[in-house]
Amino acid sequence: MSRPTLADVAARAGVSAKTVSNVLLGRRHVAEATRARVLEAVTEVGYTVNAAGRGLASGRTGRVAVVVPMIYQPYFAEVAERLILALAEHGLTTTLRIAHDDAAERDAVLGLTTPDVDGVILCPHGLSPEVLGDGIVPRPVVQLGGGIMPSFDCVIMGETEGFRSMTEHLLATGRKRIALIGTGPGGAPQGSRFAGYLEALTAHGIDLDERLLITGSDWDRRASGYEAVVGLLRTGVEFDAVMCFNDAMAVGALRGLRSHGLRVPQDVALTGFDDTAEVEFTSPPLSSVSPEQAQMVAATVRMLIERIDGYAGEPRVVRTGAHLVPRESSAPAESAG
Amino acid sequence: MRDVAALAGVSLKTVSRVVNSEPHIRPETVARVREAIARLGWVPNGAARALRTGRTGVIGIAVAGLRRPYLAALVEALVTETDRRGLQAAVEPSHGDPARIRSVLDGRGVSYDGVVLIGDDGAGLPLDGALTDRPVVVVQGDEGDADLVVDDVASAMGMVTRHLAVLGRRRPLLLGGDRGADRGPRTPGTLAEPGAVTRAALAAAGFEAAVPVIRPDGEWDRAWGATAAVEALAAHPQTDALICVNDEVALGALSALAARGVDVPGRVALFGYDNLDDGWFTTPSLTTVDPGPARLARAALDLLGERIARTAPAAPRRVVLPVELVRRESTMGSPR
Repeated sequence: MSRPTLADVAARAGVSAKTVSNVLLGRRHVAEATRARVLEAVTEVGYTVNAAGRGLASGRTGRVAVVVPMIYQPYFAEVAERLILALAEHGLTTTLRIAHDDAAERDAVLGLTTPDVDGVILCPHGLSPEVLGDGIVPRPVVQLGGGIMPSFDCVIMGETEGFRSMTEHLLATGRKRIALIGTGPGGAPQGSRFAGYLEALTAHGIDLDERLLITGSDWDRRASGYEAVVGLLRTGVEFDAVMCFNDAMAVGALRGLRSHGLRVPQDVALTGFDDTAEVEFTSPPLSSVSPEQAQMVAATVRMLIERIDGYAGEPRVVRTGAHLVPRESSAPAESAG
Repeated sequence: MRDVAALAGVSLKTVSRVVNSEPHIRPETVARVREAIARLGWVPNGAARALRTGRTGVIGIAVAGLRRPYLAALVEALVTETDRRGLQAAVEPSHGDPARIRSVLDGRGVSYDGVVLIGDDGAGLPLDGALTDRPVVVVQGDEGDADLVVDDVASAMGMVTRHLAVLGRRRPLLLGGDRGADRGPRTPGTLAEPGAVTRAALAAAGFEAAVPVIRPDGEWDRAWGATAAVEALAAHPQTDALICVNDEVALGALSALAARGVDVPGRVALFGYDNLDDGWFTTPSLTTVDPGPARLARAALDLLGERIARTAPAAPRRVVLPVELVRRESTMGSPR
């Protein structure tokens, strides 16, 4: 026997589905006799009001969509879990959606693939104002990570600060020729991570050598870190450190360096970003930057709830911090065993 | 929805079909409808539809957490698969709390059409018979009243032990116990001793029966693998192969052994399970078993779909899926 529906109640009570709905939602203009008949039918039929029904009254479903490019990379798994738990603390349930490309992110933001939610939290991969276009954003959206989007609230990671600190850390250990493995169109690392690197070099009077800027073909995979190192070695350019845009690439880069007979940190220092659990147990353990996810998640959830509750001001930007986690992979070359 | 239809120049039915991702619609039509939806800022209202049909189009996925990479891989495969079927996935991390798991199960038929329960060791699944009332499929969990989808651990250990034999290793040690089979007295047909499945496979491959097993108090993670590997070799110095319950333990072991100058695989061969990406890039790279998360996800949702549609037989079903041994440097060595 299938679960009883509103239509079953309506048929039993001899009224329209709309009338049943009005009774269940407590609307006042229903005749008393009709109300009694409907409530009796509800009991007889065994109908239970479900979350979807409640949503019709207030316009709210109590649900939020969290959109991530993937869950398999540790950074996204951790962020997704933190968001789900933080939202649960505010009585909100979460639908998790994986957006495989820019178009999917846009569809999620525009509400096409995220029906019946009160708001959307987006952890972007490639969404940009150009991709978003001029579609109307029908529900509150807050972006966690990525670049500033003029259309909605954003929490920006401390990437620039993190990369500046990491570059200065490497310079302080005596390294001078720091290769940067990252992402960016046109074959060179770009964006806020690159900006931090450049700031530190400039502050120390070191010229940028563009031959030290390498991109992998796929920004967040270990394989692309490996292939970038192979490419770097083939150019023959001299380098004494490799900074990677994230820990996953650094893991691949470590393998690339070791496969070509280079020891870390004795021959080359190596660093990542994200401070995932993995890099504490590589050989050697990898230096990284922690983007303070707890702070990012708290700011994101706070701003989303404010919007759901009716805050209608201009889009806001919150910048969170980042701190260095130095490990053996960037120890000074002389001190390493 | 009328406004969308008007703007796109199509019928209401066509708008509905695009929104429900039905097949066989011309791409230009889909594009026009989507553009109209975007321009008008219209959001399809599933709530009214759900009330009429009794279905929410949402599948609940109960998992202990997302931080164990093998769980994240499985959850990702499930979310991708639900999306492919035009459904939505609500992921609920329970952190082993029975109350949270129970609330997901009680949510079935109310906010979820069905639930996929990913059984993690120690999660303490509430098998109190309530599972049969609603659509639930268990993946990598206890056998009980619900449909179950598992990777073929027994076959995996057969492959592992035959590989060991060919490599001439004689003294294996189990770090962690059997993958997935050690779930205590509730699992029918499982021998009570830890590592029983692996030991049986070893015996079948001609090894001695007395194989040491080292078990953790807490999680099967890298930190435990690192300390356990060192303790294992100290307590059993004849060991020439470490069979780890999963890749995280193996990766922790590898890290600790490397830090102590222990040659892998020269001195001791190392096996993992899960085929995590990291194992491809360690030095040496990690021999492992691929449990096939995409296959598991497809099977789970096939079974769940039949339960939701009530076309499944009454008795719970058990689907055991094949796995693959991925042979890498931690057992085979690398060219010098």
